[in-house]
Amino acid sequence: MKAINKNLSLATAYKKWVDELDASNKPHPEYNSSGGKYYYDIIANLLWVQNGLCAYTEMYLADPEKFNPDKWKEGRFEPFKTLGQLDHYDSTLKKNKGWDWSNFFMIHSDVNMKQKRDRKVNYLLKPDKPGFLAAQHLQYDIDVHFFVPNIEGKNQEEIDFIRGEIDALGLNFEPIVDYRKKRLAPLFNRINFGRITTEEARNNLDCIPTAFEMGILQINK
Amino acid sequence: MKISRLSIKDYHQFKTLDIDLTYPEGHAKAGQPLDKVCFIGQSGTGKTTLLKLLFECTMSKNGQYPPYKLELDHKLFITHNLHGYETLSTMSGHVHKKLNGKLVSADDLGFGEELNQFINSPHPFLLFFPAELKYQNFNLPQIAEGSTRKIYDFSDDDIQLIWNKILNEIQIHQEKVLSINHDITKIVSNGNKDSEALQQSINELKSLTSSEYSPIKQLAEKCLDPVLKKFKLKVNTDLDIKTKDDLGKIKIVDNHGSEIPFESLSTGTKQVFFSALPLYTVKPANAIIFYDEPERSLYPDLQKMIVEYYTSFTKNSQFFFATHSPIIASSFEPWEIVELKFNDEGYVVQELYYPVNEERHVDNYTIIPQYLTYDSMLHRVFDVKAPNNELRNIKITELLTLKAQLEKLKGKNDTHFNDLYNQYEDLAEKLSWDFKS
Repeated sequence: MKAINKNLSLATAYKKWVDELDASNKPHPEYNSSGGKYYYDIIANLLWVQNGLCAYTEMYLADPEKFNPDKWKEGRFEPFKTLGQLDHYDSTLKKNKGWDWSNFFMIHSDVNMKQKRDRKVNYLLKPDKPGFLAAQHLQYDIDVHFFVPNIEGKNQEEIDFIRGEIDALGLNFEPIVDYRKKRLAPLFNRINFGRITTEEARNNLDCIPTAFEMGILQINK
Repeated sequence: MKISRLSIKDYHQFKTLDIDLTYPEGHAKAGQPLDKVCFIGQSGTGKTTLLKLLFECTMSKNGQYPPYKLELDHKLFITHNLHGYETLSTMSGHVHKKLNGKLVSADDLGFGEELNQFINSPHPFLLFFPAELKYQNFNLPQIAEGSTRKIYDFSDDDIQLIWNKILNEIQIHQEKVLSINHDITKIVSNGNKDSEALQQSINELKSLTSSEYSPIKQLAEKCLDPVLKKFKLKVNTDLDIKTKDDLGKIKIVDNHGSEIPFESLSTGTKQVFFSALPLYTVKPANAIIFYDEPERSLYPDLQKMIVEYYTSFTKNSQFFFATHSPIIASSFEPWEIVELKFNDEGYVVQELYYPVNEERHVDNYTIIPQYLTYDSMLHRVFDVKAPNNELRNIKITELLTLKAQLEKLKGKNDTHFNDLYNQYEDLAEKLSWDFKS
């Protein structure tokens, strides 16, 4: 998972609305994805800043070009279909801060529905955290295609926190691991036996860049 | 007669389904109809429907047809070979020949009489086994008619029809053996111990009780014991007649010789018995045999052997199975599997195991069930996204974390290292030392 610069420069109508809401210090209206007036603006802006990938697993969700600034009209975006779902990173904020931009991420539907749900998070792997660097917290095991905590310089509690976050965000959710294995195992093998260059493999991949880059580091060790 | 193609158009969930049921190019039997076919697919994709339609279309003969059959006429065709002609049958039994790409009625071509005679004459054996077989008792006294029948649909027919035929043969044999025993006793009690008659009777008895001529020994060796031994049971092949009721009865005994009443046998054991016995009894050749959900009530080890077991009783026959079991499906070559799926429009289509733009050639198949673990079968063939319990991957993450910590501490044989190592081994054991997702 890469650091995400969550620039809210496209969904300006939503930004105005939520800023006014926050300024009034009132609780947010009840969150409801189907009834939310700015729902599509939010997810379109997120897909743009997330480069079309799931914020946690980096699975492909949409072509980011569909959401580029030229496609917006007065800070609004037309409803559209997408593979992903809008996630509240910290589900405890859903009740009173249900429309908070900093708590929103677009993520893979299966991860949202079957894995993350309302799991507790501890903000260690929040990808828009200032200075966030995945490699500080994560390593990639190319034998099994799992993410594991980077234990370097961490005590047991910190290691357990990272592991908890890996589970909560679905980084090792079975279908995701299977997908990474299916995509990356042949690429790593081809690189290892000199059939393709790392650059060629990189250009061939439209998702899961963090797993790929961490895997390459291991191959080149 | 074997079915080589199934085409169905605009019928319920089938918009245009055209299934090639021949061996692909590159196969030793390329172009010939498949010996066995396995329909798989999510519930509702029509596996059982197709099985039933194939059965009914194959046995079609003139007469009254229920509305759904009439509705299906000219919507469903099966291709097969009759008297050397590649021929298409419809539900109502009309036979057509493909001529220059067009369907022409056999009547119009002047050979309709011959082909219609074929259609109306008894077909090669057809047997249909529904998912739930009907059976009540193990031993019925009366002997059912039916040994000359060529079509068995066990959705309607009670499987006892076949069972009684076997019991009848056993009873006749037992009565013969008892009769010879009686003759021998009579001769001996008359004091003619060395007589030619005595020797002749003894020889006859020996021959009659040999495996070759004893129906119960044959049944035990060739049909029931290979399955029963998995449950530590076997057929009692000794002549064990204490009362008249023992005549024509098959006794199942455990390893200690104690009889196990049929009612006490597991549902799975009964299921195998009753689905294998018709094949054993009829010994069909050139038959078409349909099995819906053969995995019903069967423990995995039995599922693994069941396809080979059933097919071993037949000669030059064609089997159609419909299953939800990855174990059953792994008994098939990729071209023998017909995976049905809903497309985006909600119609059922066949999922091909080779790229659409490639030739249907053995080398182009990308999914080979026999190469896959059952886990992979669930993923790749049955499209189950997460077949394992979600706790498993959480525990694998924990194990890999422990491994990384151990690697870092390697060489330090202190308490912390030992604690972590013990945790690692304990968890690895619980994960069966199989850490791959």
